[in-house]
Amino acid sequence: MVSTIVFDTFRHAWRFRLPAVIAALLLTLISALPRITSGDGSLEGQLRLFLLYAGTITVYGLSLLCVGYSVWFEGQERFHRVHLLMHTRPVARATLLLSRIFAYLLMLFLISCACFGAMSWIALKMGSEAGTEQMEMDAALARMVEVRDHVPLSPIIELDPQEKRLERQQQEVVTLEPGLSYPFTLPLTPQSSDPELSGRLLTLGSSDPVELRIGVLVNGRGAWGNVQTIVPGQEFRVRLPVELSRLEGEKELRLLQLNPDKKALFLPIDKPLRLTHPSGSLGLNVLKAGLMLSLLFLSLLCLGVFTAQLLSPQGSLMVVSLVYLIGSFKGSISNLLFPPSMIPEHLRPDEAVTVSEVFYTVTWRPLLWLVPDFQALNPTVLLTNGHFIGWDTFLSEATSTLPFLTLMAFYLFYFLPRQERAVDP
Amino acid sequence: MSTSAPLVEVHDLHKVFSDFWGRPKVKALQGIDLELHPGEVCALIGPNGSGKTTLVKILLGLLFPTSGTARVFGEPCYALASKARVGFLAEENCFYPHLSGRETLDFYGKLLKLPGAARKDRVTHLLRLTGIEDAAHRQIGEYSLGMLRRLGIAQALLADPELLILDEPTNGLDPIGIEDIHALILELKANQKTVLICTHLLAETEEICDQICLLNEGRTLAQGGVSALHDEHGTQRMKELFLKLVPRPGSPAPAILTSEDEQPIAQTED
Repeated sequence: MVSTIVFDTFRHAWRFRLPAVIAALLLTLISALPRITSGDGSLEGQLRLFLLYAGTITVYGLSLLCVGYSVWFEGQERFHRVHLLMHTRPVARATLLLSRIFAYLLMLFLISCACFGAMSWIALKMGSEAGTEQMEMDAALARMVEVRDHVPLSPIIELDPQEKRLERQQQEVVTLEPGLSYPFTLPLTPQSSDPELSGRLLTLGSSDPVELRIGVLVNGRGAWGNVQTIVPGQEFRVRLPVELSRLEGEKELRLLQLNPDKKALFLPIDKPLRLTHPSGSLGLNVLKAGLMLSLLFLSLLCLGVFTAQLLSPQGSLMVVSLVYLIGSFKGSISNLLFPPSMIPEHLRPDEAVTVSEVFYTVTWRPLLWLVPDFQALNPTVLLTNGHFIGWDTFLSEATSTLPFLTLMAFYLFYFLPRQERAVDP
Repeated sequence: MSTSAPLVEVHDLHKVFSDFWGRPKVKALQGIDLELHPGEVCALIGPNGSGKTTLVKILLGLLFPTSGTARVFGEPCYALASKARVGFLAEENCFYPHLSGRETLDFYGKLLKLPGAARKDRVTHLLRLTGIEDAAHRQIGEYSLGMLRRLGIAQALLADPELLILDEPTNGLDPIGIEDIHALILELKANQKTVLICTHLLAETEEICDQICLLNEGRTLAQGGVSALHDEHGTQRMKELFLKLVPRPGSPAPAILTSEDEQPIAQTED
């Protein structure tokens, strides 16, 4: 039964041509990319270029195809009344819908495989043509270290006593003074019992961006990284150079505030920071990226199919577009609607905060809870930056899709059997 | 009346359609009773909006009754077990336009879990039976209305069902096609199949039906065998009976038409 529906969906997609056209456009873009961009000649550089441009466009293109095609197909099925006849056949309603979702997912998976496979193949081919040293692909993709979640105040971190920041530690906030650097010593080794990455530096404070130089040292070796512009409230990550990540020994993270006249950078330190070695292989990293991509498509499909069952085609298209936009720009909108309770008291303009607090509570907070961050589910961002995708990262992003999946499950197993299929919404 | 167990049992069936806020909007069915036994051909007739299609959709599990019972093969209408034994021709032509006629029948055959070789033979046989074999490989988007009805009938007969529900089966068919469908229904009846037809063509009900159920505004106005109904109401033709019992829109009393001033009744969608 499932194979019948899957085959029918593929046949429709082939005859409707839109999925095939989008796949062809993406593959054309991928093959044309090396001609319009110039990398540093290395395999890693070429891969990063591919992931940054082609990977991002592929994910966004397929996401749009995902919501648009599912809404359109379901709408067409209702327009032609095919669903009436289908539901008079001895097939459970949930089976019909789940099979359809599975078919869409399989279609997107195959197009993604073709696109990312083409990227890898071209990058490998170019790498050898350029005569670059044959490096392992996992060095390019899965040997980076990230610092995620909040900056710690935990027993495993020994703050430099010379920095005299004990008072601020007690307040669980650290202010970086202009021109000074703050070292955090991280006594973790590659043989750590917890090899997964975790932690995220979250900067809070005024909404002005702050320039930081971040350095990671192992056994005194290492260098300052590039200058990073940190937007308060937004996550940033620290990459450990490949050669350093392979060294054993004590690691040290240094933050240097470069803005001469700003001191409004706060680091909440309520969770332990763990800076550890990635232990996964390229295969595992790609697998996690694939799973994240599947979850992104699955949540979009659930959204598309769910709304198409309950609303008119025009209504459902409007709703999915809106939710997709919110989910895609959740981070940016969050920045605009910064939760007032997180602004330090002395920075709060009283009246404005009250109004924005109410607005935030009644509008944005429920949406934040309900709509997954589609950008966070986009693995190309992590891969481009050479991040190892830890299981905790994967699980936290997977959890964010739960509201959509729960909604769909509720619809499939509770509401759908009670829904009168002959009544148009 | 047959003494065997009824295939279709409808008792005191009510259906009320509500608006978005749950307020009652339309009383589509108001206390319908109906029983169909094996080998019977029953026609549901009535003016537009009388509740024929609503009753059919309840029997197919596409709508749920507000109150009362409706059972098919002794099971609730929405039960999956009975659906393989019911063939349905919808009032609208419910097909994917991108499929060909043969692909459509093959697709529904798979949903009915017909085995591969048997399905292929059955599809070929039904395409020939309904006279659309030559167009079997054309996409349905190119089919005429009559061809779509023929394909719909072929689809309804796919699993050789014991109960066939046909909503406007002859809509859009030419006289030869109508004659073929009548012959087919009589053949099904001879094979002890049960057929429920919704139609506005009253003449065909006299030709092929054992039982008539005349509905108006969700209520049964008359029900029984063709000759018994004529005897009861003193009529000779079904059109006469219909016009005698069904009030014209806007008039409180039923308009009675004699055989001299009969006009053809326009065939419209329910």
